[in-house]
Amino acid sequence: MVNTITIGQYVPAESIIHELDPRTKIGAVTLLIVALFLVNSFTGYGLITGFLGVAILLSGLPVRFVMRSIRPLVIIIIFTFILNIFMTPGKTLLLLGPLQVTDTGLYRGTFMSIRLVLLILATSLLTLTTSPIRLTDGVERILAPFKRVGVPAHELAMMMTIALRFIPTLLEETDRIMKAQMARGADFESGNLVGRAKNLVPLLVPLFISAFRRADELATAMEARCYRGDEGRTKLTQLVVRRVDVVALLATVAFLTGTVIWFRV
Amino acid sequence: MIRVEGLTHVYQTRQGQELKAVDGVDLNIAPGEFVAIIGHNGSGKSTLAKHFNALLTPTSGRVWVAGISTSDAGRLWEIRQKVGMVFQNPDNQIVATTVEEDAAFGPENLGVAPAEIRRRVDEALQAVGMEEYARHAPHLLSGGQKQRVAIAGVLAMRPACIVLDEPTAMLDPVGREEVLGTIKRLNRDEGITVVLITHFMEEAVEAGRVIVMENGRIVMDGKPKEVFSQVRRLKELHLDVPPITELAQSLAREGVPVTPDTLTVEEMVQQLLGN
Amino acid sequence: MAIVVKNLTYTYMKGTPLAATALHDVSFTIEDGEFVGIIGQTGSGKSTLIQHLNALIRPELGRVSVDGVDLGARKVNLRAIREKVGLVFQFPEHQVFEETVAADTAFGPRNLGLSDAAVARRVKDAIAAVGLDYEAVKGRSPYELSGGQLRLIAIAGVLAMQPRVLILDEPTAGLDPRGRDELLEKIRQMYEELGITVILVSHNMEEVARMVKRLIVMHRGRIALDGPVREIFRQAELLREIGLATPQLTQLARRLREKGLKVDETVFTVEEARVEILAALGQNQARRFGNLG
Repeated sequence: MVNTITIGQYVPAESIIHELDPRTKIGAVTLLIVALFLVNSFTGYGLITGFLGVAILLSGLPVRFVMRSIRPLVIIIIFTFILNIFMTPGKTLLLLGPLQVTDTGLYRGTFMSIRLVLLILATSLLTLTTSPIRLTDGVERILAPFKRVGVPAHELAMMMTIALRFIPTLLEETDRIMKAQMARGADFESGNLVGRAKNLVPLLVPLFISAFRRADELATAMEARCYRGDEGRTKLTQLVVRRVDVVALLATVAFLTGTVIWFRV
Repeated sequence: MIRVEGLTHVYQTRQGQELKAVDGVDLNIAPGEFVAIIGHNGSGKSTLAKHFNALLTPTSGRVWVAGISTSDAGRLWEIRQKVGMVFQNPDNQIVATTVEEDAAFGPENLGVAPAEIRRRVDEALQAVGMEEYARHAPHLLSGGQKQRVAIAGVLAMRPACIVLDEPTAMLDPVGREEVLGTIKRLNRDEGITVVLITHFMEEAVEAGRVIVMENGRIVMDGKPKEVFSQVRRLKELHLDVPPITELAQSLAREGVPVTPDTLTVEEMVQQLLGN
Repeated sequence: MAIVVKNLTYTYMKGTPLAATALHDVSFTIEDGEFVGIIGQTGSGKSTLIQHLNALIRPELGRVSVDGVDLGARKVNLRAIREKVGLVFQFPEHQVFEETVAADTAFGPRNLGLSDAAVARRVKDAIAAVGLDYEAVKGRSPYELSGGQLRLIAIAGVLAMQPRVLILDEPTAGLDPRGRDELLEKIRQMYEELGITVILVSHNMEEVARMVKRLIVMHRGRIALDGPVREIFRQAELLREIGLATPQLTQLARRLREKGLKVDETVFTVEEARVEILAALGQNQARRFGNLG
């Protein structure tokens, strides 16, 4: 059960993409997402797909491996596709009882699905090539200028770190509690939806209690190690912007701006 | 190193009753000592230990750490830098997603310069024998390894004293051995003062001084031989007695010439058979 | 009610690069009413093994049968197996979830589909069997209890299934000496009074030795030794290689024997050691007097 959750897990390797500053990568992905919402032609998406493809090739990760990150979200993609096909008004192509498939529906369904796939691929490439530490460091540094207007940059980054640290621990714990309750005759597999939800109580209650206890102990341990927010805090790893980062970011900005201007109807 | 005078700590229970966890304790721990504190659950040993780095402050009485009163709120961080603390559950004290980032957590909080943090992290991981695991994720380590990472995290703050609150309670024998070996080495080679709170008599035997707590008070305090030779008293307190010591005393009663404070197998063999 | 394990092999994450063999060709039989200790280091396979005994893990290769029921069979009734073989995990207090002690203890029997009256009776019996006062604790929140008591309630939650086999994984972990001794004493009472089979899993030799008659020593997914406690202690060399220490007094006896004092090398209690040593010293003395005379 623990090993089924591998969405966007970091894969250590040495490549240009891996070694980019996390801020560059976060910036580039954000721009790409914005571009995906602005561009509204298949040709434009084709270009963006090409751009992303080059990035994937540069990362040195097997293409099929990167594609696998789509798998957990396939249902959502299909759902989006179907919803758009049926729900968009236009010229009817096909009638299925009360439902009708329209030409604009088909167009939009396909378009939306491609948008989702590209979104997932771009963010997965970010998390696959950036270690959690560098990712949180990057987020913290990007948000730092907004601290003055009340954005808790450090706290957000610390929360991300702790979440990433404890996900495997809590997954293990879930497994253990589940087995302990199964040994007392609990059944997590059969029954209808309501019944199943009710059956989860013996799992969720101990899990929450344990999570709270852990949080409490962790807070004490952090206090004992002089943690007092980001006041006067330094960092072991420093982020440095290199020439390759500047080049990568400029190239991304140029390419996406061009695409957006050209293909925005 | 640590001086405690007339320390009393009162908890408020959920039912609103007052509970005296520590009751008038006087104690002096010298620099470089290795002190074990034993006593069963609820004897007040954990509460006492939490006063040593100002996680708790006295209800009445005073605690000084390296000459600083722990009630002096302005010098809290100085105290916590000087006295590091390791807790029972190895999972719930590791903050970061890699071993070296975790070891860096303390010095980062103290505002140490990055290059110096790097040096301290490497040294600390080496001191606990975890340097090979610097880039590993903590959840894949064994219990003993996690506790050594926790110790490294404290060491990187360059403390004068480490307080360990039942660090081996959740470990298997191999893990216990690893942690105890690390503590002993740090005390012997680095001269770090160690306060070890434990249930395990076998670990207390290794200390230079053993303190026994009961009902919030110190009831015994002395060298391991002095404390563990009081077999009957320890049994009254429901604490473990080294079986060798118990055997020595029952043999002595039968007229066999062995001393009643025999602690180890080799001492016993020596006395029974000479060389 | 015999448990028969035959050529059991189990591999975690089979077919991935992380595949690890946790059990390797394990075979043994545990008869009705036995009191068995399973001992081994963390990672020796003992946890994987006991999870096979109540079908939390289904046998992949090899056979496990309880009371003649093959746990690998497709149509095996899992609830019936878990009713027969109760498994108490390490730190069982972490599984407690109900608002009252009685309600939590009732979780198991209720899952068995028993009538309310039958559930109530079992809850009462189980709480009594772990030595707690039913009337005093039934309505209390489990989290108001002390650590030791909470663990007893968690064990009662398994006992309320009225298993014929009770497996306890490191039941004393994290308890203080008093809590540990009390719990071990209660486990012994359960064994004697309920007439059940008990399997005690531990990495603490000293503790297990005092409790059980037979020991199964696991090492790297295999059974390294299996036999009466004293027979196992004769294998001090092998045990040390595996990383399991023999009790201190057994070590003493061995050292004395090496040095020529004729004591039984399998003693492990103070009383046994005293008797053995006195007898051996007496003989030595007699021989010395004999020589003089």
